[in-house]
Amino acid sequence: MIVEAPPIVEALGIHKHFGALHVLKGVDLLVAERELVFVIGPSGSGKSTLLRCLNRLEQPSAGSVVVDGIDMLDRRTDINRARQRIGMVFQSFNLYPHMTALGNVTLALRKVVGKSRDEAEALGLAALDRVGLRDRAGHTPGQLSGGQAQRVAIARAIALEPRVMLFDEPTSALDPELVGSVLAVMRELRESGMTMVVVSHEMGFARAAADRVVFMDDGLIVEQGSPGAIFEAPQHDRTRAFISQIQRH
Amino acid sequence: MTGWERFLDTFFNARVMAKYWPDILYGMVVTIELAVLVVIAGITSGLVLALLRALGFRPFNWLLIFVVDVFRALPPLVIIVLIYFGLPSLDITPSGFVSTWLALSLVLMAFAEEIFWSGITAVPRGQWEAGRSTGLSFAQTLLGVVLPQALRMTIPPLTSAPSPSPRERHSVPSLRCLRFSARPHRRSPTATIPRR
Ligand SMILES: Nc1ncnc2c1ncn2[C@@H]1O[C@H](COP(=O)(O)OP(=O)(O)OP(=O)(O)O)[C@@H](O)[C@H]1O
Ligand SMILES: [Mg+2]
Repeated sequence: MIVEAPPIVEALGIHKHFGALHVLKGVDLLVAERELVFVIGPSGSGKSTLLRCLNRLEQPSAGSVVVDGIDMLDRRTDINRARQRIGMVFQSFNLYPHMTALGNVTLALRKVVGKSRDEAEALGLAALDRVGLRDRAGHTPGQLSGGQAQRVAIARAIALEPRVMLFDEPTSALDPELVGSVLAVMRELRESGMTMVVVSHEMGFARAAADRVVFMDDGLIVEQGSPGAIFEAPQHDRTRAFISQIQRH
Repeated sequence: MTGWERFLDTFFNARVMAKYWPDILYGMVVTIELAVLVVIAGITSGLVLALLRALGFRPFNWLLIFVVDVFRALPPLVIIVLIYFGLPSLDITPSGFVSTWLALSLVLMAFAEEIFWSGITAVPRGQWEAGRSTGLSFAQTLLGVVLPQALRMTIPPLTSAPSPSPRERHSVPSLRCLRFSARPHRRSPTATIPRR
């Protein structure tokens, strides 16, 4: 008998309005533990907004979000504690420019987790080591390449030992030759069993690493399935049009 | 007396200089004291206001913006006079020095608040999101992530903040004159104006 583990991310009936703009129109997203879900869709379809609703950077207008058993929308939830379990990586890195790489990684360890400076630095160096940048610990973001900066941002998130990692177009701002180093780190994370939700257009990575691809359009999930199913045999016209469009370049 | 001698006697009279230089020195010391105290109070309170404004509590912010605009718009001398002659009607009788310090601090507070606030708003949204997504609270993100970057941006404009200028600091002696000419224990600007 197979007992299905409860999903680690359970977002149901998510709606999001920005004023009159209805950006998410009832999205259900369930993510199992250790699963890598890949989210694709045209610009403006609501991918980032959905991701940001999962850690409540954006407050959904309606729906429920439960992550690792914690009701993210309950007012009684300590949102700062809850967010510690959900790492997020942004398209524009968002490293703190006035701190070193190590300072970026240790800030939340000290302020949120309450580690001493020495403990935080040991954990921070270990996290930088994981992304291959231990030797850049003393560099500031301005002294790092885009690929290195994004890896430091990943280290900043994984240092907190999150249960889920959210990636919002992590390689879109990078020069093509730097994309590989970030994807390699993401693949290593995946192999270590991290649950990941990735918004990206890196189809090669999706084919190689994703368990499931979700196609969004106009605030709704249009279809989802294995990478093979979505990329080779999409069921909906909109999916087909989108796939052929991004494969053209 | 030749014209040249008269000129020297008028502007470089050694006897007069000897008599008044201690007063001038004293005035200079007062001016420097005042400037230091105004800068400390004005910058600190301006920073506190900008941080409070970041909390985004609407009614408070409307009030804050109004107060800041008033102190930026009114000529400092008007504020000094209002404090010096107005507060006694509330049974508070600040000295000329304190009135001037308070007025100029309020003016600098208003300008500093605007400068700090513009620095805070100039920090990209992504910095807030990075901080909050790692579990930092609003206050931790504001003080640990956003403010250090805002301060770096605001130090250049702050050094050229338009106040307090020496012209306004000289209002201290003028207040003393006003007080001398007013009746004791009753400050009223009208007391110095001859009644018809
Ligand atoms: N804070 C906001 N205020 C108002 N409108 C917003 C806000 N954030 C997003 N939107 C709008 O919501 C819609 C969906 O935005 P979102 O960023 O989720 O799209 P996306 O699928 O991530 O697109 P992209 O591929 O360009 O990143 C867009 O029309 C966008 O303009
Ligand atoms: Mg987006």
